[in-house]
Amino acid sequence: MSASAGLIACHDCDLLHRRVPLPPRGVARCTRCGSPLYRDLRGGTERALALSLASIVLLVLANVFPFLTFKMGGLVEQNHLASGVIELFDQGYWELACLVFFVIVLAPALRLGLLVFVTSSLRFGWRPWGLGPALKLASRLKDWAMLDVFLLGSLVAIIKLSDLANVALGTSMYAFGALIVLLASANAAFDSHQAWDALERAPC
Amino acid sequence: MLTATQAGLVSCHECGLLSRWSEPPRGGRLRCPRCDSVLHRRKPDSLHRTSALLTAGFLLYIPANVLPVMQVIYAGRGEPDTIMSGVQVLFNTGQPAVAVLVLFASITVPMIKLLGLTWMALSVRRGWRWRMRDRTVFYRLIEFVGRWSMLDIFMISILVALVKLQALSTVEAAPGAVFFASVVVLTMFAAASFDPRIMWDVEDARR
Repeated sequence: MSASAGLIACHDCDLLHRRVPLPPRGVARCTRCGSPLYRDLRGGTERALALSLASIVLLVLANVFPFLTFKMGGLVEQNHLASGVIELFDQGYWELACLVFFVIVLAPALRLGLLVFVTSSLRFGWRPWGLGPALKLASRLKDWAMLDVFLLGSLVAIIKLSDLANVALGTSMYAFGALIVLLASANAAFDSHQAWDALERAPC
Repeated sequence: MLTATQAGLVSCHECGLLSRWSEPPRGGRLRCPRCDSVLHRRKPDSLHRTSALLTAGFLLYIPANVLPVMQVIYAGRGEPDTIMSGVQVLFNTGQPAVAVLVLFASITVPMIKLLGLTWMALSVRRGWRWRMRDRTVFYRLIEFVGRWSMLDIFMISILVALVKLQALSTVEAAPGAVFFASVVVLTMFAAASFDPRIMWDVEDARR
């Protein structure tokens, strides 16, 4: 263990580097391939905790309120964020329904819950059972929470329909827009490798 | 210039901790002292897994583009849309900016992923040493943009839920969408299973 103290290997090219203190918001990059090695995340735990908590509230709002309203010749159709999942299922495309459900409901909700669990434990010095597995699962889910992509997809859908009919944004859409911003900031404030470092440093 | 491997160290993929590498006993595994994840000097079977996932991706890419991904039924008449015709419709209806966006997410990104990763796997197999840094940057780019190809699937999921005015117009998903989603997921796994460090191993072996 002592041999590796103060050293870090580049994730993308394996080159060893000596850890140096960073200026606020600084990023250490690999001298050979340019990949980020580690960042200065002063106050990152608190930021990630606050932003994840707020995101959970917005995620609930985004799922409860109507997402879009579609009006065409006196007919009105309203949907929710996850209505597409049910509709795809009804049309017999259960594979797509499961995938969409996973990436826009399950993965984001689970990741946010785990982030709150991990960052609050770090912040308040708790060492609950399951902290390690929670941290591992949270980092694995990161790429699969695709709410940002979904927002872009819904904008394209709105534009596609705008010729055909009148599409109105629901309350959910505004909550959703704010959610994307908070979620991105929470992700930027959190780094799983640095969370492990903090776990190790903090007295149990 | 010393790599972790050359220094007899191994970095944990999960938590980043460096620890001393020792060859695990037959059938045994070396675990990270900090987070208990299984340690590998390189991602296991990186080249084989990536190649297998890419092959599957290439095969499914054909039906994903040839078959319709959705069907707009207007006044009883169905009009199938493929990925490409969807882009064309956007162009024709005077939405060139959106058309370019969808073209990029649905056509360019999957192509870049499939061809880019194939090229990288090939570069390792052939022992190429040029443009290592650019190739690493390119790999990170592929890893980053991969998920944006889901755009079309999400668009379909919204259209099917919103446009169901029985008598007038409905939108239904079509088989191509399943293939397309499979390509997106497979290429995401392919990118995750590729280890960019094996490109640098070629360079390190020479020194």
